[in-house]
Amino acid sequence: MSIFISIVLTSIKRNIRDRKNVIFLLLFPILLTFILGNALSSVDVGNEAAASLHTKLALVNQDDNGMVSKQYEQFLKSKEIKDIVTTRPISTINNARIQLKQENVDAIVYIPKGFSYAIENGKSKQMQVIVSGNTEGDIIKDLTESFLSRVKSHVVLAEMGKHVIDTQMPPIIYDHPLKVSGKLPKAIDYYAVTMLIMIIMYSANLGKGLVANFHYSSLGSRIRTLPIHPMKFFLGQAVGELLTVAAQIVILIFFFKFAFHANLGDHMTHLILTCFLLGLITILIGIAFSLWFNPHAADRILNIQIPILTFLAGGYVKLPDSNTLLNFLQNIMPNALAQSIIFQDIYGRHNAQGIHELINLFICLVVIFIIVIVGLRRKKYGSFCK
Amino acid sequence: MIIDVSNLVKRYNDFLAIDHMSLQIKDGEIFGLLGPNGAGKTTLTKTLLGLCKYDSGSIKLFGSELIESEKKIKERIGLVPQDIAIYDELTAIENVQLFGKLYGLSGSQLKAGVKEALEFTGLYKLKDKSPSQFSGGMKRRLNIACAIVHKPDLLIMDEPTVGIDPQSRNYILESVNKLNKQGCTIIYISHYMEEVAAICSQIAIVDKGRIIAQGTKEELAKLIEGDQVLLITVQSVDFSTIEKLEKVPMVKDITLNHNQIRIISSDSVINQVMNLLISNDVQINKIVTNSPSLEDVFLTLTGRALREESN
Repeated sequence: MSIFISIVLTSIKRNIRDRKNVIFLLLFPILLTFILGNALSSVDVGNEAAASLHTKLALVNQDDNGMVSKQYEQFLKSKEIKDIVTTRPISTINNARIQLKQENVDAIVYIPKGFSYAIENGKSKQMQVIVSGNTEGDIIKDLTESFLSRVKSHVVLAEMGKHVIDTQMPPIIYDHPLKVSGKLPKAIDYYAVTMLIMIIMYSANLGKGLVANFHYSSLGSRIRTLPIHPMKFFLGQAVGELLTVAAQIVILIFFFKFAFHANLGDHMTHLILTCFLLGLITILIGIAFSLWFNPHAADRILNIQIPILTFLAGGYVKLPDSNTLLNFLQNIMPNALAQSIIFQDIYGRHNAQGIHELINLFICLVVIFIIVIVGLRRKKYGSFCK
Repeated sequence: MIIDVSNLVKRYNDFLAIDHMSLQIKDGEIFGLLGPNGAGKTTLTKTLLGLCKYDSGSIKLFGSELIESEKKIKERIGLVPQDIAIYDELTAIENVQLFGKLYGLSGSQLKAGVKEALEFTGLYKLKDKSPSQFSGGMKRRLNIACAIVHKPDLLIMDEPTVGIDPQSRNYILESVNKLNKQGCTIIYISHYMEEVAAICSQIAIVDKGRIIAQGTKEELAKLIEGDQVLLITVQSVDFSTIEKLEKVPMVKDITLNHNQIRIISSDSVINQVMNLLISNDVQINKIVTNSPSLEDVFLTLTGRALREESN
């Protein structure tokens, strides 16, 4: 076994055997999530948000009783949708636009003439959704997209010559409900994500400990007298810490999903990779702080910044979206970015916004990586003999 | 020559930690470095091992400059640091294995080295235990095992017996002698003079970044040959009396440790000292005269009590 792998494995072994560490890495977030999720279930974030939503839709249906548009109207009348969407039929698109401008409605859905006929004959036809840009409008857009994705599958079938649409419209809504209620976050769903993010942020302590142990402890001094390149040892330990965090993330995600039945969405790989990316960034943040500040200062800064960043990201309580400064901060805070990416992935919102946030997260990674590299060079980890 | 230090200077800002120090250590020696805290012992060790840069002078280890072939040189050195530097989360054998790998051992060489190091330090039966279950002395022994797993040619031991029971101390001192007989050159840094006197073939007294005396125990004792040591235990004594004693002719040095006055003089001063103490109403409990020890040599040369400063 190469010496590098030995260092990595030793690092993981030490983390696993350290009881305090295990309690902090696993038991603490599980307990905290359980307590917050249950204690705040009556005032939970998602239902509160849902309760405050009065999404108003202007439906301009010019499809002349077409089958697909009828299905869409039925879809809007279903109990789950009626709870959150009030539909107002409007005859013309111009009138609907006036209503949208006057903020009487949050979105317009325009079904053009011949829409169902086109679909039934396997042809492409657009159904238009015009939104006001607020959260309520997004909901209409997402719901309609979900409906249309089902319709699209029938278009494909029709194109393949299987004109199922002609014979019977499958139970788009009733047999396959869109699980709208399931997609609204309960307290446990919300805190499973935010606490996961917060606990990943604490990985910064592992990064900080890495430098502190290597640079300021007697064990670190001893290691530096050995015939191994300091950078090789340091990197081996860093990889070990990263793998520990990765294992922690996977265990917590599975625990939250299967023990707490928290809704963590259907894209486990996305979730794990996003968390892993955040873990990497936070370990690097811990390393950077320890390289650029003395150990006590780094300790203090890290311990203060984690709860503050968690609060600003809405980790403890959901914060209003309207604050410009807060929005700006959330666009550069790695925890807020990762949290937003995960929520968008779970609740199926804007892909474009998610990609934008993912890019921002990668920019954070690059920036912090550069700071760490400069710090390591400053501390002369790159040279064998100091 | 295993170590050849020439005219070494190391500064920490304005503080001169090593002041033009020169030092030669021959192959097969147990070389004792004596000195109080701040004398420059640790800085010298750090500089020898490449942990800190020096301002001027040169260091040759095994005939080469450290900077030229650091990896090769470090493979031949073992360090037993003053603070116990082992991983508490790993078992004894895992600790020694890790250090063995870091020293470049692998395969059967590693396996044999680990077994030998654990047996040598008497920890083989406890190899699967965590150091957190060990006593202070056992941890110190594991600290040593990690440094000798690769059978170094040079072993630097920095205060290896601090804070341990007499049994473990004896075990460690015996181990040092055994290692030396196996061909390992040892630098033994301590403020326990009796340890240094018992095991070291060469001794250097370091103070204020300089070597103020060097030689065998006997050679050092000769430096104050003819001097006498007077130990007087008193009920109590004030500093004005001590000041008066310092002014007694031929008194070279006086220290007061609790109620014991230690006087080093170039000739017998017992009568003058007794008269002075009695005239100052000092109640004398005990008087002992001794020939000078290594500690007295240190005291005479530096004017400071070694252990008081170190502790």
